[in-house]
Amino acid sequence: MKDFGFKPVRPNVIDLATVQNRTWTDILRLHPEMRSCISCGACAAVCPNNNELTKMSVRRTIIELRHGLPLTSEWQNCQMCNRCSLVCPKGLNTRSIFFRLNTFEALNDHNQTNAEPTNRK
Amino acid sequence: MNSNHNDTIIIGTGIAGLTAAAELSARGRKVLMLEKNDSTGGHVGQWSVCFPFGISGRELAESILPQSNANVSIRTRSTASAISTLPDGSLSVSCTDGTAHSARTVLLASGYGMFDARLKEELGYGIYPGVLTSEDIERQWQKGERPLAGHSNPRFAIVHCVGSRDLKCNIRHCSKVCCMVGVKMATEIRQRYPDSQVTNYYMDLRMFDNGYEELYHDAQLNYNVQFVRGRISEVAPTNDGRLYIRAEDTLLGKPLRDKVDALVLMIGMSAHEPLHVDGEPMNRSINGFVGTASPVQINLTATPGLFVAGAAKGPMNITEVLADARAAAAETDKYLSR
Repeated sequence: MKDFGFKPVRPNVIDLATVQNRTWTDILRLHPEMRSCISCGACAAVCPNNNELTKMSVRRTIIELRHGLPLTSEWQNCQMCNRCSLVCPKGLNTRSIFFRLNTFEALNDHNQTNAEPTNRK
Repeated sequence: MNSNHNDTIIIGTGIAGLTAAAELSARGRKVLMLEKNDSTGGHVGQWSVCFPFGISGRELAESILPQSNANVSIRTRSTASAISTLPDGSLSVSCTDGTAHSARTVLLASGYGMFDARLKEELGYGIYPGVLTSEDIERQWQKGERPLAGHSNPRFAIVHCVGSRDLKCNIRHCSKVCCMVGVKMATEIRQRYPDSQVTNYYMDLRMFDNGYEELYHDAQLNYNVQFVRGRISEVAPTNDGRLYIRAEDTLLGKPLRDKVDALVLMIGMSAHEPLHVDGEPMNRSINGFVGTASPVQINLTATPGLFVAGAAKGPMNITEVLADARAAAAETDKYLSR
């Protein structure tokens, strides 16, 4: 392919019609109650890793998993402190998601399908 | 044709009118009901399932007022056009067919109109056959029709707040019940089409009444309904006869697209044109619906003897209408006993 001096980036668009959210499906198999997340953001607010240095957002990660998007939040920084689960008004075990996120087989697929970097903010 | 043997004329035979008629007839009052359509039951009478009762609107209407009631006479295809006060203090209702009926009291239970979804052109109602309103779907189900019967894995998108909270259409009020109807319809669709995928696009969900929040939770957990915070702002047809929709997931701040088989619009309630009383249009409240005499006199209008009940006063759910109609019947009865 001819080098134009720039690379087209993946469009910054969620396409629900073609989305592959296998990681989310795997998560739901273990934690079907995760469906009842209402994205209130209480988890992200108490998260000690949601700060100037490490931009981890539990809320964002859950929505991105649900839509099958590449994970833009630095979820690997999770310290398993469990504050997110403590404040969740729906009583969801969010810590368990982050604990298991690495172990999900589908996560490899997830990262492959969404391998190309997006325009991050 | 001037009949003066009625105690009360009820305008409208929706659930508000039927409830008030049942209450008044039980207290021995003679009631004449005026209905502009061919049959009674109003909007609710055409709906397939009513939350939280789980029965059809027709069953609900019939359970309120049984067909034969000696104290209640119903005139269908009679549209009230104006009300005037007679010298003896009673009220006369004139209809568009030229007839007039008089009684000591009149109870206005004329309900609401549905928002004309064609005004929101970007949503394509009336342009693309796949775009339906909540009322269209309820009617089709009530008639036993099954839209999208041949599709496998049909995808549905439900748009909340169409024609409510819309300053561009000069509608400032919230229609109040459509949040619940949207979520109820999502669960209904998932029951009727088990292989379907339903996504609700909401601005915010107002689950205010008993059982609503539970319904929402149930829809998420047991029916796997997806909720996206954002508003669909563009609809276009695809080559394979489906609908291409665009919205923004405002929780992620990213544009979002989907291809769906049906787009269901949760249309809001809008106020009817005000009736003329003694030549003047009736007082209206802040949202354009019928205004009441005072914050305490919630069933009396500015005209003595003219009462109002139900969704004619503003958006209400069925439970509220039942309570309000009974209150209006009690007020009417009190007025007649004076």
